[in-house]
Amino acid sequence: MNDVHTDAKVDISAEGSVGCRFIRSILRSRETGIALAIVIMVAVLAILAPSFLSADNVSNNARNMSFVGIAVLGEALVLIIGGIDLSVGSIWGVTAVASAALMSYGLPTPVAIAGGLSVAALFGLFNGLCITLLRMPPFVPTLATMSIARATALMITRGRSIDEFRPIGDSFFELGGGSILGVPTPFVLFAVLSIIMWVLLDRTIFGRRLYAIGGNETAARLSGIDVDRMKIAVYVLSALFAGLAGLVEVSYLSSAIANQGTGKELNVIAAAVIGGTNLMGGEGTILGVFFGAIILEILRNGLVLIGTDAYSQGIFVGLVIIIAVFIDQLRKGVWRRK
Amino acid sequence: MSATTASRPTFRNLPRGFGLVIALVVLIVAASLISPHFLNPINVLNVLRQVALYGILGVGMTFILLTAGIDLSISSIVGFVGVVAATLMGMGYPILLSCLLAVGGGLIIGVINGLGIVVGQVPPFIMTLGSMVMTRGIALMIADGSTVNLGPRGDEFFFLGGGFILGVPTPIWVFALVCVVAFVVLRLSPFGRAIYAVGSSPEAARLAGINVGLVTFSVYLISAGLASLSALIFLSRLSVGDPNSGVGLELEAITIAVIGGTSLFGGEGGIAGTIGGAMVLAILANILNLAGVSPFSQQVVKGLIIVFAVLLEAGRRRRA
Repeated sequence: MNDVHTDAKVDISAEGSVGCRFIRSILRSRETGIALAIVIMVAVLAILAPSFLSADNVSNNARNMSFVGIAVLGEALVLIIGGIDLSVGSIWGVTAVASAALMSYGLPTPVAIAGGLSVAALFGLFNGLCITLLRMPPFVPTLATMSIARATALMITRGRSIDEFRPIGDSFFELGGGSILGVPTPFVLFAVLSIIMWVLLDRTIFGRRLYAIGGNETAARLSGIDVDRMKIAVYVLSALFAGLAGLVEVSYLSSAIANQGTGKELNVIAAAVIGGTNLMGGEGTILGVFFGAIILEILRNGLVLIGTDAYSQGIFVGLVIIIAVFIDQLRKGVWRRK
Repeated sequence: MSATTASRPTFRNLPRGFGLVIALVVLIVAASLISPHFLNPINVLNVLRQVALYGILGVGMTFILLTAGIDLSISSIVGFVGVVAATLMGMGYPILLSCLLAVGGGLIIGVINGLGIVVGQVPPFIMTLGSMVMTRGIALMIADGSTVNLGPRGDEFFFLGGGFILGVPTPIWVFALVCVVAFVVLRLSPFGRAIYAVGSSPEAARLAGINVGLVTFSVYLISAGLASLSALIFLSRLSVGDPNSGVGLELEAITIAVIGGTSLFGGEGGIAGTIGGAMVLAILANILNLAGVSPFSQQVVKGLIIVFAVLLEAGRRRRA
C-alpha cells in the first residue's frame, strides 16, 4: 500500500513548477484535511454552543485530550511499524495504581513515579519479547497483557480505590491538575512530548527505520536494520507513554482505581487512525495523531454541549472513525488511478 | 504477512488439534482431582452450557478469521439485539416475531460491516471498531441507559436459554446444530472452500474465479447472525435486556478461535478446533471457580493461556 502511495508522489511531483508542487503537497497532505476538519468542527460548535469557546471550556478540553493524547504518541509508533498494542488501556491502569500504592507506602514521589513506569516498561518488554523472540502476531500478546495488566491492577487495589496517598496541595497533584502560564500542565506535557516524538520520527535515523520496518519488514531486515531490537523498543515506548497517561490522570483525579483506562485502547487507536495513521504500517505522523486526539475530544465535548444525550455519543464517534478512514481510502484511490 | 501465509503447507494431517486434545484431557483430569464436584452432572451441564454460549460466538469468529478479517462488533450486537428483543416483547409483540425482528436488526449491523469492508475498502479492524462503538450507542439509546424488562413473556421465553430438551440444556442443542451446519458449510460446500481460499490469498482466489467481495460480505453477515442468536440466549437466561451485556465478548470469541488453532492471518483453522477452544476456556474458568481462585487472578491465568496456546501453535507450525 505504501509503495503505491510513494509511486503516486513521484508521478505528481514530476509535473508542474516548484511552487505549484509545494501547494499541491500541502493540499494533498492528510494533515491539511484533518486540520480543516478541526476548523469546521470548531466553527460549527462556536455557532451552536457559544460556551464552547469560553476559556474554562477550552482549558478543560485541552486537559482532557492530553491523557489519551499522550498514550497515542506511543501507539502511533506501534502502528507505524505495522503492529498493534491492545494493552495500553490496562497498562494505563496498572501504572496509575502501582504509583499511587507506592506513594501510599510513603515513598518519595520521583521513586513512586519511576516504580510505576518500570511496571509499565516491564509489560511493554513482555509484549516486545513475545512478538520478536516467539514470533507471535502482536494482537495476541498485547491482548493477553491487556488481561494480565488489568488483573495486576485489581490485585494491587483489591478492588478498592487508593485515596489520600499524598496530602492535599502536594506538588504531585500539579502534574495533572496544575497549569503553566494558564495552560493546563497535562497539555503542556502532551505538546512537549509531541514535539520530541516528532523530532524522533521525522529527524532521526530511529524514526526513518520505523517507517522502513512498517513499509516492508523484510526489506528493512535485509538492509541491515535490527528489526527485533527496534520492535522491542517501540513496544516498551508504547507502554511507557500509556503508563505516563495513567500517572497524569491519577495526579488529576487524586485517587487511583484499578479500572482506570479501561477501554482507552480503542480511543487511542481511534485517535491515531483519525489522524491518518495506517493500520497496515509505514504511514502516520505525529502531527496527524496530535490532530486526531484533538478531534476526538472536540467531538466528545461538542456533543455534550449541543445537548446530545450521553448514550448516542457512541454513534457519532463510531461514524467519525469509519468516515475518517473511508475518506483516506478515497483519497488514496483517487491518486492511485491518476 | 502474506509471505508467511503462502509458505505454510496447505495439507497438514496428524498433529493438528493434537495439543488441544491433550490440553483438554489434562484439564479434565486436573479438574476432577482438584474438586470432586467437577464431574457432578449438574456442574458438567453448567460447563457445557457455558461452552455453548461462548462457542456460538467462537464459530462466527472462526468464519471471520478464516478470511483474515476480524469482527469486534459482535459484543455490541449481543447488547443491541438483546435490548431490541426485550423492548419488543415488553411492548407485547409475540416472542417469535420479536426475536426475528431483533435478529434482523443484528443482521443489518452485519450488512453495514460487510458493505464498509467490501465496498468502502475500510480495513475490518476499523470498520468493526466503529460499528462496535456505534451499535453500543444505539443499544444504550433504545434502553435509555437502563435495563429493559421482558414482562410476562419472560417465563415462556426462558426456555431458549434455561430450558431442557431430553435432559440436555437447550443452548447445547442450539450450539450443536450451529456446529454441524458450520462444519458442513466449511468442509463440504464450495462456499466453505472459497472462504479458505480468500483467507489464504485473496488475489489467487480472485484469479480462480471466486467472488471475493461476496464471500467477505457473507462472513460478516454470518458472524452478525450468530452474535444475534447468542444474544437471544443470553437474554433468555438473564430475563432482562441489558444494553451493556456482551462487553468484552469479542475478545473471548477471538481467544476461543485462536486457542482452537485458527490463524489470525486467515486460511487456517476450523470448527472442531473452535469447539475444543470453547471447552478449554469453559473448563478452565470452572476449575478456577471451584478452586476458589479470585476473579482477578483468573484474568491473569486466562491471559497466560492465550499466550501459551499461540506458542504451542507456533511450535507445531515450525515442525510441520
